[in-house]
Amino acid sequence: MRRRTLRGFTLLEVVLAVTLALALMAAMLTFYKQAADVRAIVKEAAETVGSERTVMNLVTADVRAALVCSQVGFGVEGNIDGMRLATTALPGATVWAVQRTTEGPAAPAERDVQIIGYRLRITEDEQGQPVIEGLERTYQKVLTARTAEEGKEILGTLLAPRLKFLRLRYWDAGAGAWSEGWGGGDLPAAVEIVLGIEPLPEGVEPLEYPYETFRRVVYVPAGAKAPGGSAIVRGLGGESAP
Amino acid sequence: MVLALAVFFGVAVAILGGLSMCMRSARQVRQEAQAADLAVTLLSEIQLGLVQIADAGPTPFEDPYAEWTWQTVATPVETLIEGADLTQVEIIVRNPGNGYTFRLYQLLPGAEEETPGGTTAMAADSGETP
Repeated sequence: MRRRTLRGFTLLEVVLAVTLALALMAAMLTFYKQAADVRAIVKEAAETVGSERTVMNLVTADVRAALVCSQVGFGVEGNIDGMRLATTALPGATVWAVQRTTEGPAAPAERDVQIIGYRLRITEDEQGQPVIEGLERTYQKVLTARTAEEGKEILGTLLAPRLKFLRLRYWDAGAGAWSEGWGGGDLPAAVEIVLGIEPLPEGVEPLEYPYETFRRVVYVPAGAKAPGGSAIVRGLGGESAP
Repeated sequence: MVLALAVFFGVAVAILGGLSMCMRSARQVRQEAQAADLAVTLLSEIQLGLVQIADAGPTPFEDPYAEWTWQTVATPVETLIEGADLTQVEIIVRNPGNGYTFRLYQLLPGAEEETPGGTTAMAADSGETP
């Protein structure tokens, strides 16, 4: 009868195999952690840039469509950290809804001019300290009065929670210089929009913002001055601004 | 064991390549956003009359955008309406460092009209020009 010899692993082989397995696992874990970190950084960067592009494109569209609404005598009103502007807008979908003549109106009538606003939404935490939630876009559809109540006629949407800094300036074509505020009755020739991710440090002027910014200057077509000096209002029958 | 190690390192290299491509894509998205902002700003300067409608550049932007250059190409466009001179303005924003180029086109009123200011490079935060 043949005797079968059963060969096992020597102690050295086992120790070597376990050491190699542990080394591989450690390398894999380190590699995985680095990959996860890189992924998180890339994701955050992509989301930040995505927010910036969305906001910039939206502000650009609103600013380029800005006009002076002669009925309420309102064009652009703003300061260095926020602005409101009258701009053209498509009426809501319900306006186009087909309905029988015997029915009442399906939705309140809307104008094709709205007052849009951009500002930082600031709330307070439990300790009463101000907290910047992000960039907010407000809109006021019914222009029955120049002043309207927040939360009632003026509604807001948090556009970009990642953006914690907003700086606006207004190009005064007459003076040929930037202005940090704009009155409201007419339009600037251009608006400078600067966005940032970090909040403005305490005690630092907005113009001295120390972090990386996204900056765009947007021309206001209706803010171009006519030869006579008054702003040409396009979209309201070409009437001149007051 | 050699096979296992080869597979392990092969996969690691593939994942690293993917991550590197991901980083490159993120950088490109950022550059696209920056280039678009610079191009729209330059177009606004042209519309404000601070930069003349003419062939110009390539010229480097001022700090902090010194790695970018701008160039404008003005091409007259024939129209059927008498006196309605239009010029197609092509704005080319380029990053010579990595070869990224962004172009923006717009039809503007003719270049013959007098503009208030001369050719001005972008001033990001000078507060004097847009």
